[in-house]
Amino acid sequence: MPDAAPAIAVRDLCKVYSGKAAVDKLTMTVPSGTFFGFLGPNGAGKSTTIRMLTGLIPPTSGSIELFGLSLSTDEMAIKRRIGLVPDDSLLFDRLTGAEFLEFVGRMYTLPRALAAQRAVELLDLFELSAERRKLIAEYSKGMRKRVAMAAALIHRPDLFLLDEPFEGVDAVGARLMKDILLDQVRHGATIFLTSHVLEVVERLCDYAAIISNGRIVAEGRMQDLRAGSETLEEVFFRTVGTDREYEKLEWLT
Amino acid sequence: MIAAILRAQLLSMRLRVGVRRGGSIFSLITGCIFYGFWALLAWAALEFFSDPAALPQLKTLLPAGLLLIFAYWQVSPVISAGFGATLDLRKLLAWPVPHSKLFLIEVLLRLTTCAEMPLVVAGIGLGLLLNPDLPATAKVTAALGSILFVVLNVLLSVGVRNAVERLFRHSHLREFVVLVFVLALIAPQIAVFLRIRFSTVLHLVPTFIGWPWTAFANLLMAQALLTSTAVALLYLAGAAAFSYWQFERTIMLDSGTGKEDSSEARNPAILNALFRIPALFCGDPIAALAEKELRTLARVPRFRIVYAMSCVFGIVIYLPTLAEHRRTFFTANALPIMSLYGLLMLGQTSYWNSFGFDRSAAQGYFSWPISFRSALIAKNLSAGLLLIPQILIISFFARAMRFDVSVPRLIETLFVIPIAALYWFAVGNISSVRMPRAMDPDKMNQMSNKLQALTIWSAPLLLLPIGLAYWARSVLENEWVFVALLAVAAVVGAVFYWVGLDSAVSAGLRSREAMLRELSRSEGPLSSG
Repeated sequence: MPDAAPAIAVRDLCKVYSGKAAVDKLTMTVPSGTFFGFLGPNGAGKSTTIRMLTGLIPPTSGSIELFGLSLSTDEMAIKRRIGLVPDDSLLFDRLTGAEFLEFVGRMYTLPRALAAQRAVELLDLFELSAERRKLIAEYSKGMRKRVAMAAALIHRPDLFLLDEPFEGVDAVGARLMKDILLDQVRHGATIFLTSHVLEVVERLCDYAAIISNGRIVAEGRMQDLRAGSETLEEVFFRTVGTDREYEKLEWLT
Repeated sequence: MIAAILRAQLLSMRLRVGVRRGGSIFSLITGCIFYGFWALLAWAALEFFSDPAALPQLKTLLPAGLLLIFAYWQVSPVISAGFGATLDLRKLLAWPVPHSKLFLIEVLLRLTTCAEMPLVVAGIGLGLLLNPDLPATAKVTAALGSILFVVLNVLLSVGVRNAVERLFRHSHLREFVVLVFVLALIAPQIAVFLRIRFSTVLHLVPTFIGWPWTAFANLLMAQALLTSTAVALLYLAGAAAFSYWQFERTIMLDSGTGKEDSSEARNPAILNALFRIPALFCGDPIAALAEKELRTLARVPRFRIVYAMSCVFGIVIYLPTLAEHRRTFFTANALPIMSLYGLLMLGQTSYWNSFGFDRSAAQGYFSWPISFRSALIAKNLSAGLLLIPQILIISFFARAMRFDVSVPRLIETLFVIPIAALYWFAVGNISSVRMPRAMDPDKMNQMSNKLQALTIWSAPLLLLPIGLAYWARSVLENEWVFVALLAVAAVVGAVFYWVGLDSAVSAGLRSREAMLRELSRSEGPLSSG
């Protein structure tokens, strides 16, 4: 059952680097049990926001609440309920896929036997069984993303924070990951997803927010955002703006 | 093109220096001391070789000296696992840079391998140039010969570095290659052990002009000028061809046309059982973290090599003492000192930079529901566990070599080394969070020089409590005093460790952002040494 409290509630969240705001007074609510798309151009502040939500980096100011708990006071309780796929690799290259998944399971307090059993099942699910004995260092980019997704699932979290999870994954793998995520939402989990592939977000998400220069420029239900016959891509370009700077470069045109 | 590559590297280094000013100052001071020592040696060489009275000895001493320089130049980078800066061909091959230009940069970079040797060669060359009793032509040949000798060594070190780096990528050959080089290093120790006199060693240095050191010695002194010049040039051409050939082979491997060993985990049941030892006496997450650490380290070629070295080098250093039958402080405490040396050697691949091999995955320690303290304790625990087999291996070999290794001495060592480790782990934890740096498990050169310097610098202070216990035992000849002081050292060590851990945890949490940024950072077009 979805929680009564929103999965994510941030108020006036700021992250300032050398006087420049990467995230600027971000206020946003992600209802529990929803598939939430977090969009924005490169450098808009998406990854910084996810890092602050996971406690990887401290905010300069503002508050973060997950499931009604404050990240600053109930950090451990919150982290136990999160499944994370970050943009940077969170994989230990000198472990095999099975060893890594078992290890992550144990980080989330699963008993060793249960973690090992789930690791094997997840490797089967993500079609990595054949590579069971291979070190992660030998995995392709797509395989690494699959293992990262499997690791995010192993403790059955309530909230998934996914930073570009489909990047480098082949069509079959991406389809599988999307099906699993949709199934998790049906079972009450919340997904917070960043992706540059707007079609994917449009198809999967029921809520979305667009961030630009560290500020939310559009937010709401997907059908409300796409007022009329607009596609999400058109909404995105309308709110974020496009430029055709390359036309100024004569040698390129 | 060359300028563009070097500029890209300078820009990458500028960013790094900005992040860790403390580390840069430390490197600067260490560098001044290290090169100051070699500059002194070069000055001594200048004084000696410029003295007309030394002339009769030159014919023997100069080839021997050049042989020593030659051997040091080519062997020491492998032994110390520090090749200096090198081109990261995997990055550079994506661009249309001619191989010949990359080779030229690589040759110039080899001056960073053993940069102290050109200093010494310059001292010798200048000394000969100033020697009034040498023929006038020696003024020219001493200068030219010194430069050519440096060029020969630089070219050869390009070939050696490329050959060794490639060999290290083949998992089954790495340890064997290191063993060969270790044997090369042992040679002088064995000579002392066999009581071979220095003068005999000098006579063993082949005086045949066909050897490079003899040819160059003759060239420097303007002796047998035609033959020595011809032989020297022949060696130079051979070194250039060898190094270019090896460089091209590395390029073939890096561009994917060569075959590299695939890394598949093959854990025998016994090894799996060993990895699970932490779970016998502590629960998760520390047990899981320590197990992960042991599995990782066992699969990191660089760690395996250093571990093998740490089990052998202490004994190698002690070999000359076997020839003496006098019982001294050092012979009486051979096993603890050898094991302590092993502990210090492990530092560069474990406790000094304990997050180095984790790289960006270190973010897990901050995003999983575990305390950062657990991560540090687990890393220390795994390093501590590795000390036990290390002590046993050292004891076994030391016993086989007839060192004083009794069961009480072994038990004493098994107590003393973990106490010493408390001090080193405490400082190591702080350096791991304050000076983190991503390390490539396949590369042998990263950061080793800085960490070796850190070990040498901190040794006198950190060894003080245990050294005091041994000193008291040796002076007072009382075991109870020794045990009491050791107990004090253990208590102080535990407090020191706890304080150090607290400091490292708060520094890690406070600066986790910078720490993770540093661990996720990739190098510029050059890999620094």
